[in-house]
Formats: sequence, structure tokens, C-alpha cells
Amino acid sequence: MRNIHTKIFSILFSMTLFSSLISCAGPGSDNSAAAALLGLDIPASATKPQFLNRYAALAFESYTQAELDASNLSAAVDTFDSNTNPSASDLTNLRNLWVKARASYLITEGFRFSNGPIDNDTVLQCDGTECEGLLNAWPLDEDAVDNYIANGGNSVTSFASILAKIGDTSLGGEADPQADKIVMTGYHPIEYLLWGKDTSNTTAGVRPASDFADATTNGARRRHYLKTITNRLAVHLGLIKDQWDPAQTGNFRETFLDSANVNTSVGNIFQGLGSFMAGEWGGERLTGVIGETQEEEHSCFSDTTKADFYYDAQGVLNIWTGNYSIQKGVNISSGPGLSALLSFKQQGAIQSEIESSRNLFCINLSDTESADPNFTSSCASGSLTHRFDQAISSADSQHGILVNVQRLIGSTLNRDFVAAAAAIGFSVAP
Amino acid sequence: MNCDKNLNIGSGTANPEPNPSRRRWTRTIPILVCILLNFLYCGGKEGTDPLGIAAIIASQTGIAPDPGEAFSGGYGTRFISNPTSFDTPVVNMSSDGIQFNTGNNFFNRAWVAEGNSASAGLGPTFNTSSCQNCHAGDGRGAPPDSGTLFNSVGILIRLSKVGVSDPTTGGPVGLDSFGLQLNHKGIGCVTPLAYDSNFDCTGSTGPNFTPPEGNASVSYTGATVVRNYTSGGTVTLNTPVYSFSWNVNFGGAPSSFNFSPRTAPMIPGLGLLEAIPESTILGWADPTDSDSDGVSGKVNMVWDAKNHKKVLGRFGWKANEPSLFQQNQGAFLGDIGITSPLFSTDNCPSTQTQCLAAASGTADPEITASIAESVNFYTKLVAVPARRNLSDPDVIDGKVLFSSIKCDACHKPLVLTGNVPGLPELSYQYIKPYTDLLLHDMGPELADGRPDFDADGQEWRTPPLWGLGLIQEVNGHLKLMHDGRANGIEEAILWHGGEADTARTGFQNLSLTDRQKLIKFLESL
Repeated sequence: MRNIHTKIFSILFSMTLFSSLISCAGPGSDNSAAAALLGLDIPASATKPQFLNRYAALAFESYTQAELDASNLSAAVDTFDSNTNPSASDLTNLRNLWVKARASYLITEGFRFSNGPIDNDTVLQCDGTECEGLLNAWPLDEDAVDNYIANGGNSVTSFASILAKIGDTSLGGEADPQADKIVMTGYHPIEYLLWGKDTSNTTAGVRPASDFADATTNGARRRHYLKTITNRLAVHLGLIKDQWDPAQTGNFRETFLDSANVNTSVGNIFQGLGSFMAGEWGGERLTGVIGETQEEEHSCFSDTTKADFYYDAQGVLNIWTGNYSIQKGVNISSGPGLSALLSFKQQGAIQSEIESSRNLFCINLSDTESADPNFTSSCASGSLTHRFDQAISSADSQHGILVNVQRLIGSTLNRDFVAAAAAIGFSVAP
Repeated sequence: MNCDKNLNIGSGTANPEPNPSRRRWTRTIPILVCILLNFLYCGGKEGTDPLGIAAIIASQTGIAPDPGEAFSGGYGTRFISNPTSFDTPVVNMSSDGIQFNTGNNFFNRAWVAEGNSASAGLGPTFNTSSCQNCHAGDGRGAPPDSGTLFNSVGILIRLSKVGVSDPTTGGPVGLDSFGLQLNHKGIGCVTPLAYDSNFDCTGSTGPNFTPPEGNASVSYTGATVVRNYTSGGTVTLNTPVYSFSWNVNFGGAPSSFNFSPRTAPMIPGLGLLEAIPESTILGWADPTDSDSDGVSGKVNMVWDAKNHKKVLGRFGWKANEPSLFQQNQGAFLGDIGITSPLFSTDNCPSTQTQCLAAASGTADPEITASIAESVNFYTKLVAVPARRNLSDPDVIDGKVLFSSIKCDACHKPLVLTGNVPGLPELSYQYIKPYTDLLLHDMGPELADGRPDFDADGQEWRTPPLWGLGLIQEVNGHLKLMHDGRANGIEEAILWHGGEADTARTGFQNLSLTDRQKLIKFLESL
């Protein structure tokens, strides 16, 4: 283990050096040419099984943290639920805990689309269905949530009754056997309950704490609903974590690490990350940049959308480097990442592209992001400091940053990633 | 056996020869130079020989103009046969893919009801909440085996008044209370938790909740059509029967109406179909059957809502839409209830007061011009999947039979696209769409009795056949024809009537082996 760490350190060190060399060379510089010029090509530093072991450990650590933060939120929501007249500071406390829980979940998003427990219902089901949709579906039909709370009677305390309402047209959405159904659970309904509708582009949602008071119509039901879905969020994350738990047997981790499945597992990771870059992180999440409508902001109630991009990037970077990191520059643990399967020449500029796409988002909104692990009031020049729902419009002076980051993730990074995968014999389909 | 034999089969005299050798082009260069000069000096007017242009491109680029029989969608063809076969960008994409990805995301987006904070605009009445619900995997929709359309994916009902057409557009006129399409879903009622049998939202507490317009059901208990084979054996075809229930809030059952069930067609290759020059389509048209071959072929002149004039129609089961721009925004409004720059008013007839009240929940248009354009871009550049099993001797024989019984009179096997400004991916591509995009009388048994611009109640547009053999793989069914009445390729052929009588009887006269070969060829598409 010691040896591996030393080797990784040397590679990381030389990659940093290399990045600065190529960035000095300016646009048009060719990585492989620069490497050839320097006579550098450090061979791959890890075997596939070594990488897969680290990936499994990283997944376990990431979901453990996500579950822990969701549980902290859940415990605070329990207390909140027992209070018949919660105060503004009680609500702010929940919002801050949500921001933290959201950050640690977003870091796990790099594990999506890779045939793992998060979104493959043949591997794991949460309450009888694929887990990711229950955790993170979007867009939210706010009327459906409000109508359920208004009409649900005592049943709002039962998760099963909420689940049974997904797909009920009477709530405001549509029932469709093959399509995404009404979103009733997960981070976004919780966010909606905590912040309320956001009809402004200068603030987030401004739901008053009195919305949760017993004296208010539906106040108690709103608290109960919040409690029920937040409790379940933590449970679902725990189920996913268990699939990666090295202390458990018969779980997904065992199959994933089985020596017979080495190439399949690595191939799924390449394909999953490729899909995530082009389809989700640099695609779906950023569609508003072309659509230019405020409605395309994903975390629209809390106005924390910049964090969505920041932590998606951090999650991909974690898998790439093998380091588990939440706060910028602080590695909680380390091991061989995906990049360790590639020789130096095969790395391309991937690491610096991921870092650039992360650093373009500055987490600086004091009204909603002050609890974020990377909250800062000093933003790097050229980073996005405006609110996302303002920058989404081409009339905003920082709109160009969003256009560039979309191109960087969905096109440049994705292309380089596909090429890196191909260099060691894995194909990533568009 | 190699593929080349298959490559050179089936190019009738009406069609340009596929895959010509480089030498042949070299010999014709003096002629081509004349064509080029003509092209340049006349500003590229219609009628310029498209083959000549392709040849010039070939001579300048050093690539063969037709990459070969497997390349159904020209150089953009994607060689992939699995459940994602209809859902990939063209291989020759020249842009960075951002706009394609964006369009794809909006295509897949599940919209939520008017008045919500994000991605809002669904309804007030609608058929489904996203494009991909009906075009699953960018593929084909199907009717339910029987019963209600409520939870079925991929079929809707067009409506119109009997015996009237719009004096300005020439198009069908919607029903006073229900419009041009039955929206069998609405954005809901507060209480009770389900609609009653009249679709009444009794006790509804707010204006933002709209009941559906009604519902339709299908059964296959109606008339049957029996087709005999000369070599023995019969096939019985079941005619679908539709019944309706109507929302009393919106006026209840109309006294009379025309209707047409329409399944969702597949998405691949639409940009290439749009790139077929008008002159090519007009060249195939023969409305008076002047060559007396029993096959006419008529252009549908339809309304261009953007430019306010009648133009050649090429999309939809009756060629009733002129462009993807209009088709897509029409579907946003008609199917999902999303207003767009082209159709910026919510789809609520004046009698639908609840719909009108709810329609203000989200500012119109609900999607911007750039969203509409990205979806447009996306639908243009979804790749056509490559043909498979080209060297199978049965497939080769099947293609010969396809021509010999004159299926290719309408299902054109080889077409050259024209110039699409800004989109070299679609320009001057040899494609194998197996359609002429023209209207044909398909006989009384397939008729819907609902005129649509110049298309009468018996006329249908020839659908493209590319990708046919992968529908089962992508969509898990093989329900064919406009309303999905045919179970598989054999039934689809046997449903052909009218102008296609000769081709169909030709099929009925084939031996069992030859029929199987023909179907095997169609499955290779």
C-alpha cells in the first residue's frame, strides 16, 4: 500500500507540473506532443483490480457520508416535527442541514449510470423501485405535493401512502406506466418544503416558518410529510451504502469485485461516467443555458444550483484521482483512481478539465449557501459569482461562463474521456 | 456471396444507380462541369441534376458519393443494433454536440403542470408529459391490445368537423368544444381524487385544475378482412373499432365528427427526409396516373404557419406537416400542451372554461425559440441505423422480389438529398428511406374518412421503411400502419389496398418461400 501511495504522489506531482506546462503553452498545444518533448510517459500505476477495490471503497465512503448527512437532517426534522410552532431559526437550521446533505449526495452522482445499485433496479430496489428516481427526480410538481398534503389526512405520515400516490393524476400530474411519474419524494420535494416556490431571481424561495405551525392550515401535515420523506431518504441512502459495504456479504460489491467481472466492471464505470458527462452533468443540468429560462434551474427553490455543478465535478474528480474530497484541496482518503489505469500520455487534459469545470462555480450566496462546505466570499476571477437563475439568461454578463462550461463538460471533457477509455480498450457510446 | 451483389440490385430505371465506380464519374466530368456552371449561374434553381452535384462533390473530396447499401442514412448512418438503435447522433456530426444533447434533453424531459416553478407548462389538457413517452427510445408507439387509451403510450386521436375545411389554410377544422385532437388527460382535480364517469371535477377547489376532454377505447371485434395466398393459406385481419366518451363540462359528445387514430412514428432520419429536394418529390408525383401503372402519388399542399402560405407537406401520416419546425412545435402544443414561439396560445377551445382559466399558470410561450430550435436540431440529426444481414442470400432475393412486385413504386429504395445550408451532415447524402413522401389511395379498408388538407379519407403518405427491422428490438412490439392495427410485417403488407392492390396481390401470389424472403429483406432494413 505504501508503494502505491508513493507512486500516486509522484504521478500527481508530475501531472500538476505537466498541467502548468501545457497551460503555459497556450491554446493549440498538443498534450502528447508536449509529453513527447519532455520524454515523459509514466506507465499505468494500478492494476484493474486495485482500481476497482479503491472505487468500491470510494463508493462506500461517499454513500456513508451522504447517509450520515441525510440522517443528521432527518434527526433535526424529527425534532422540528414535534414542535407545534417552529421558529424561523428552526427552519434555517433545517435549510443548512439540507445544503450539507445535498453536497455529500451530489458527490455520489459520479457513480450513476454504471450498472450499480443507485440506478439499476435489478441490483437494488428502494421500496420496490429503482432508487435514484425516489432520491433525486426532477422536475417537481409542486401542486402535486401541496395537494397530497391538503388531501392526505392522517396518511401523510405513511411513506407507503405517499409512494402509492406517485402516478395519481388527481394530484396534478399524470400517470404513465413507462414514464417518470409525479415526483413526491427525495431531495427536491424536501427542498420545496423548506424554501417554498421561488418566484424571484434575486432571492431563493421565502416560505415562512409559520407555514409549519399547527395554527396554520396544513401546517402539521406539512411537517409530517417532511418528516416522512426525509426519514426515508436516509433509509434509501443506507440501502445503497450497504451494497458497497465491505463488511457485508452477498452484496453488489462482491459481484463487482469478482475476478471474473473485472473488465465488465471497469467498462461500466467508463460508460457510466461518459453518460454522466454528456447526458446529465454537462447536458440535462445545463440545458437552461441554451433554453435561457429561469425554469430550467434545477435546485430552483433553494437557489443552490451552483453547488449541483460544483459537487458533480468533485464527484467525478474523486473517481478520477481516487481521492475522497468534499472541501477543495482536502483529501479525506486516497487510493488509485481511474486515471491510475492510464499511462501518463493517455491521461489527456482530463484532470485539469474536471477541475476547471468545478472551479468555474463559486459557492458564494450568503442567503442559501453559507452552510456549504466550500462557502467562500472570495471568488476566483472569471468564476460564476452571480445567482444561477440570473446567469442563465444571455442578458447576464456572466452567461458566457455557463456556455463555456457546458462546452467544456459536454464536449471537450467528454471527447477526451472517450479517447482515454479507447486508449486502454474500452468503448464509451454517445 | 458478398455484399456487392446486393448493392447493385433493385435500382430500377427511375432511380439513380447506387455506388457507381470512380471511373464512371471521371468519364462524365465534362458533362458535370456544364451542370456545375449551370448550377452556379442559375443560383441553384430547382431542377438542377442532383446527381451531378453529388458527382462534383465526389470528385472534389475523393469519396464515393454513396457509401453503400448498409448505409441507410448516408454517411451519418450508425452501425448499432440494440435498444438504443434509434437514439444516437449521426456519425458525421460536424458540430460539438451541445445543441444535440440539449435537444435530446428536452425531448426526454417530463414536463409538469402549468404554474410550477420548473419545466412547467404541461396541459391544461394533454396526451402525455414528454416526447419520449410516445416515441420511446425515439422509436414507434403502439395502441393498447384493447381497451382505453388512457394509459397507453404512443397513440392519439385527431378530430375534425365533417365536411368542412378551413377557407384560409385548406386544413381540417377542429371541433368547437374539443379542437383538432382528443386530449385524454388534464392537469387534474383537487377533489374527488378521481374523475367521475363524466370526467367531472365535482368539488374542484381551484382554477388550476382541468379535467380531460374525454377518452377513447379500442377493440378489434369489428369487421375482418380475409386475404388468401395463391399457394394456399389465409390470413385474417382484424379491423380496430374506436369508441369515445366525452367530458360533459366541455359540452359532451359532439353530434358528428371525423377522427383518425395516429401512432407515434420513429424519429431517426427525419432531417434527411426534410433534405429531399422538392423537385425530387414532385418528379415522383403522378396524380393522374399518366403512366397508367395503377400507382398515382399526390403531393399534399399544406399550411405553413410561419410563412402563411401553402407548401409541400412531408411529415405525418398524411404528409400534413411541412417541416420539422412546425411538426415539433405542433406536437409540443397538441400532445403535451406546451406553447412555443410558433404556436403561442394554449390549446383550449372557448367552451373549455376550466382549461382557459388554468392556461395562465405559466407565461406563454412556455418554451423559448432556442429550446424549440434545439429540439428541431435534435430531431434532424438522429442517425438512421444501418442495414443488417446484407449478404444473406434470402435477403438479396427478397430485395429483388420487393422490386419485382412493385413495392418500390412508392417505397423508393434510393434517394439523394439536396443541400441543407449549415448542415453538411444532411446534404447530398444517398439515403435508403423506402418512401416517396407522397399520398396514395390505400383503399376503403384502411380509410379513416378524415380529410387532411389535400389528402382525402382514403389517402395516406408512404411511410419510410428504414429501421423497420429494429422496431421490435427498440420498442418491444411490431404494431404497424397508422393506427398500429397490423401485427407484424406480413399483416402490414396484407392491409395494403387501393393503389397498392397490385403490389399486395403480387405478394399473395408469391410462394411461401418467396414471401419469407421478402419479409427477411424488410427485416434487414
